Amino acid sequence: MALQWLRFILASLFMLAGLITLFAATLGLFRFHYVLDRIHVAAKCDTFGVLLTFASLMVILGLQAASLKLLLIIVLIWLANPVAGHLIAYMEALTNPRLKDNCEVIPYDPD
Amino acid sequence: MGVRLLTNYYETASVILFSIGFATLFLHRNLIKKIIGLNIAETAVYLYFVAKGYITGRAAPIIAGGIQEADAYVNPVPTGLILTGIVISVSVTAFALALIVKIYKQYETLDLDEIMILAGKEEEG
Amino acid sequence: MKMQNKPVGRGWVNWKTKHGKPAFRRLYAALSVVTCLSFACVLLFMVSALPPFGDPGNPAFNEVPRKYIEEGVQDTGALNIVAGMILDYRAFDTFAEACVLFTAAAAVLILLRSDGPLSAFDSLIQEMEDPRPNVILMQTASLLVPIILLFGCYVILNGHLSPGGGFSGGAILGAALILYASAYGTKRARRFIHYNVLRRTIALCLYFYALAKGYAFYAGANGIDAGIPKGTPGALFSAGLIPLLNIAVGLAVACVVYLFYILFSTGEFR
Repeated sequence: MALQWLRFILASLFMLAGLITLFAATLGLFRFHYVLDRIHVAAKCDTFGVLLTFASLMVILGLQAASLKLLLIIVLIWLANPVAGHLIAYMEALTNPRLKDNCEVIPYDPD
Repeated sequence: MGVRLLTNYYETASVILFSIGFATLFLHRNLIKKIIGLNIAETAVYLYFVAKGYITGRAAPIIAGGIQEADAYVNPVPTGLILTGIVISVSVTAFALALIVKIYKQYETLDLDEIMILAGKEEEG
Repeated sequence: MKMQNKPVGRGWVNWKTKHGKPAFRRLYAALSVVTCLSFACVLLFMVSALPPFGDPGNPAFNEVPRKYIEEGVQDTGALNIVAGMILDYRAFDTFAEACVLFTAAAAVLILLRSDGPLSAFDSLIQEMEDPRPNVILMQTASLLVPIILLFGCYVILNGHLSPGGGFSGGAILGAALILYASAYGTKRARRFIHYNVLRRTIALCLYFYALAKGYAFYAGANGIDAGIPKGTPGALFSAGLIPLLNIAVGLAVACVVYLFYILFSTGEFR
């Protein structure tokens, strides 16, 4: 009984935190205006929010095949989502000629 | 009547989604945003159809455990119809985007009003 | 009469040149909002008169889905009733669907082909065709592409047993190809998937589909034994023609999706 309560509380905590994070991501996507701000919010909050909500679902499901599938989805999203965000930001930095008007630019020095 | 709107919440949501897509199609002057609106409206139609095929408490139409009674599964027909619809929508979207690329090459803008003005000038001159 | 009309006309012309465009835009926006809202109201009124959601007595659940569910496995051999429906009962519909996809690819090809000298836009696109190789994207793609390809093959091959099938699996395969091409450049992808390969694969798949299903329908309509074994329902090699048709549709969809990417990313296929 105590274990079930613990599970429920853990799952609801994870789910609440995940929903708040995803809400922050959506809000930031609408409220920010510049590309780099928006992609910052979308990449970070989306990735973390999905981790939290799926962790909550895994706690609810317990140890079975479905929760392993959820784990696979988390791995896929943690691989793919930051790379997609990086690519959008990289494209913006490559193609925007007036980058300095919008943000601070530190010249990249490979050495 | 209002109660029925709440019991049919999937259909209500799909109608609202369709209106959002329709309004996007009208209100935005950017051609690509018009295509996005068209796709939102199409998604609403898919949601409507699949919601009409659902029956509470029944399984997806994949025979499991040898049970072959009609009362054990949801309606498979709307799913099959929507499969067709998705493919058609992909084709139409690709075709429309190709047309937009062509228009952009000609007028170098995506704003519909500016394109109309430029086309009018072309016709006069 | 002339004296009276003239100032009115001039005033109207003056007003039109000064405020015409914003006024028209505001009127247009108001009219479109009113149109959309009235449309939504009509549709909501219709929704309120529909049978309730999830009702077993829904008139859409008539004898057609009943027949598909009760006799589908005996007729087609596929456990997935939707796959059995779209690839056996209504197979010509699906064939026309694949043809529509092919036609869209051909139309995009015709529209984006440029015969004249390259414009500024074309040269800009050619510059961007193979951008600087991005190490992060290449490493991620080398990890993900084989897994996505494997998953796409799984979805296509199990189309008659589980959710999935030719269209969804083909879209997954196409996504894997697009990821490879965007990570390593279309030039490197062209070494093993050339334009001719794409074209021939799509045409071959459509021909195979038309011939196989045409033969099955002809034999079935004339009461001839088609000689296509159904197998035991639930096995990987079962359900007669459905796995083969799924593979054909999946390959065609993957090629068309990849062809769309190639055409839109390079502007023109050489």
